[in-house]
Amino acid sequence: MCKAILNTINFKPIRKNLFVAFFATSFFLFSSNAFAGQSEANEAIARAEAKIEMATRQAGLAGNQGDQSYNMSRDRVETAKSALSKGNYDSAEMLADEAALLAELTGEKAKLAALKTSNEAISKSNAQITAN
Amino acid sequence: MKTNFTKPFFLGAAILALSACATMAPNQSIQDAQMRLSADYNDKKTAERGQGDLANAKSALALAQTLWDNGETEKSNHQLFMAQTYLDLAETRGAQAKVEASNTSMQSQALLAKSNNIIADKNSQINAMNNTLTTRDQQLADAQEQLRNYDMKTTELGSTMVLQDVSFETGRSELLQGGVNRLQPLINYLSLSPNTRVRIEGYTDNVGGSQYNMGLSLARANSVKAILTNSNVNSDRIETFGSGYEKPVATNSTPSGRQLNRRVEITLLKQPGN
Repeated sequence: MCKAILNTINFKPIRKNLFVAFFATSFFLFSSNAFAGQSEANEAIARAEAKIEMATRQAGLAGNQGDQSYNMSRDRVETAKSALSKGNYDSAEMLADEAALLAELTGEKAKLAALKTSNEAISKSNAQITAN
Repeated sequence: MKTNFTKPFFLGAAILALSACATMAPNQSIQDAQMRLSADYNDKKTAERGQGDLANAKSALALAQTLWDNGETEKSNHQLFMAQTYLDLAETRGAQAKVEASNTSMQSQALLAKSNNIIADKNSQINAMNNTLTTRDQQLADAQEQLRNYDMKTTELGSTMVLQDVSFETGRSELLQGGVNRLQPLINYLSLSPNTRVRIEGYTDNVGGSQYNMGLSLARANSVKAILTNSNVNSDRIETFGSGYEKPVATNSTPSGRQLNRRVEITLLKQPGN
């Protein structure tokens, strides 16, 4: 009975449809992955830029923009943007992540510089008190 | 049939050798970062303040090693860079903690030094005051010693000195120069003992009428008061009386007796509570 049923089905169009379906699915998966990669890279770049902005303020307050991590961070974010425009999403995301971390380092180094400045001021003041 | 195992053996060995050659060489940078991580964990402040960064660095280094072993160089380098930056962050935070601790310590030292300076100043002031008081005590003792030169007697009112040899001309109220000099020890004492009050009572001989001598004796007492006030003894501390020729201390029938009666008695009044 089963054989009878199978004989009634014409498999040729089904094979063709399966083929089309396979390619459509593959294309969809590829596209969605690509979109996901682009979106993640974009987010990473936005995060890095926000951190750079914050670090710029902190470094400005501390008068410590000469730290190399600041320039490295800015360079990396630009390179990340360039990689993004070329469709190198993985590379763009990695560079953006590095840029964000470098910006955080800039901020912390700025805080350290400010602390050292106050340390010197206290030291001078102590010397004066002791001299008096 | 004899099986020849030589060929497959050599073939296997060759494949093994090739696969060994294909395994990535150890990454020195990853090893260096591992050593740095260990050193950071051993630094108390860095380990405390950079706890999260060190954990991230550890994970990134493990991932970098795995990626390196799998031949994914770019991703491995990325993870290595992240690990190194996390280590930088941890060390920076550790350095912040050290500087903060140093600041706190120095601020405490400054506070202590300021307090010490204030205490030293106060001590210096106290010493100066003590010196002043000691000097004053000595001066007062000297002045009291000089007062012994007066003929002091204790009365109900206090200690009374009689300036019998203070010279007043008959009928005059101005003190002669010798009398002024005799008042100097009293002036010294009163300037050093600002709470001591003084009663000055003038007496005359019996030359002239009673009314006249009353006025004259009071004028003599006021004359002594004027000398004291001119020497910066506050007039509020001084009270004056004139007793005329009453209460003579000698006969008025001889010149020497009358001179003794022409006198001023100065009483250092008892202070309340003494």
